[in-house]
Amino acid sequence: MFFMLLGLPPAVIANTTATTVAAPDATPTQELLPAEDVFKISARFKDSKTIELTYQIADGYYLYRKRFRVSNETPQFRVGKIVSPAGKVKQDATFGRVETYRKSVRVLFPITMLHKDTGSADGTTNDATNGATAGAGANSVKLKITSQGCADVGVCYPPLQHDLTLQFGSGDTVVPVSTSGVGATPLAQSQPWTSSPPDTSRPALPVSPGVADLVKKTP
Amino acid sequence: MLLLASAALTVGYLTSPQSRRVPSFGVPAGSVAQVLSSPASMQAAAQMPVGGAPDVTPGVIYTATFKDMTGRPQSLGQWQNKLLVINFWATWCAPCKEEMPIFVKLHQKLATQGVQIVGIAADTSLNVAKFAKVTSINYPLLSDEAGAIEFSKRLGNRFGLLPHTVVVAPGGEVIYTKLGLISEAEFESILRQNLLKVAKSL
Repeated sequence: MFFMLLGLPPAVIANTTATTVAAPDATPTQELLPAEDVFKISARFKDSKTIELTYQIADGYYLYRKRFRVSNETPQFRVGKIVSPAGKVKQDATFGRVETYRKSVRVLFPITMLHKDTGSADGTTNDATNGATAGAGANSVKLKITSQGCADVGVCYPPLQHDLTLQFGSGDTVVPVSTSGVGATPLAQSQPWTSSPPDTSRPALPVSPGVADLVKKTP
Repeated sequence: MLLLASAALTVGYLTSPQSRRVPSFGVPAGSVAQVLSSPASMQAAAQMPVGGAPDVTPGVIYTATFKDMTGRPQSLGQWQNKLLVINFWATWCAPCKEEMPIFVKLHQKLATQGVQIVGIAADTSLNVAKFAKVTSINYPLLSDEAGAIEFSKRLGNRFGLLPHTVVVAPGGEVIYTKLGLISEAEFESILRQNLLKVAKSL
């Protein structure tokens, strides 16, 4: 009944066990993609001071504007604040006004080389080509890019982490060397659940008064 | 709200408590597929099973420990005699918080009848505490930023998606799992049905 009222394709269950099925009859529906196939990232030096990340987002999914993070793992470089375009404003019952991206989005962040004696040049004084050719390994920039998105069907993916390595100043586009969920730590069978150390680096997203009221007013 | 509620109608599986089957035995991983309904916009997506059979024993469930909002460890074992509803969520998950009022209601209705709802956040206890301050969640909120997702995966949530809700019968059998938003009426019915079965089997 609930499904019919909503006028949307109902969920379907593929149940191979001889147990009770808690679903009405339904037609097969599309299943969700793994995060790495939904949110495809590539990166390049847009110019000698700026890295450009491009996300290709599968239909039916979206990324949150405020959920990008860049972690620089290369001491000789410093990355700056992410600059992202305005997204589509969505009134979220929980978050209030949020901005999301669909299809594709490009975000930028500045990067500078701190030590000129590593064989390259500071992006502020040299062009990209010089930086790229002056030295090989020393010019590698290793980054961890975190993003987070959801599917229109009403589920969210855990924060997704992409590991990228770029050659400083190179205009080549690179793709992640690895992709993982932030929460994807291996499970130790012998130690089922031990709590991880508290991480205060991720601020809580604001809760809109409307939702707080909604929860509070629930009898 | 209506759109969200309508879009993520996912049904996991429901087993009979009388079977007292350990979920990880005799059920090949992935044989019980959770499938989300999808809008037309997703038709181009490649197919990939989202859910699978839980791969946990009662022992794993009841020794699982998560932090409460003060950072103290809390074991799920304290609720092993209850019909335990585990709702995986996070403060960064909008659909998760969308459905929390349903759990608040159900907790009020059914807590005295043997249902224990627990929210396990893939988040920091600090974030959970901040969230709790501005809401009135009446059931325990625990957390483990990485461990919650892994535990959820072990319970059949292959991609670690949220929200994910699991019902565990007294004794540790996983009798129901669901990805996406629950339907209040459907979920309450499932809980009541299993409360009766559990009572009869005891």
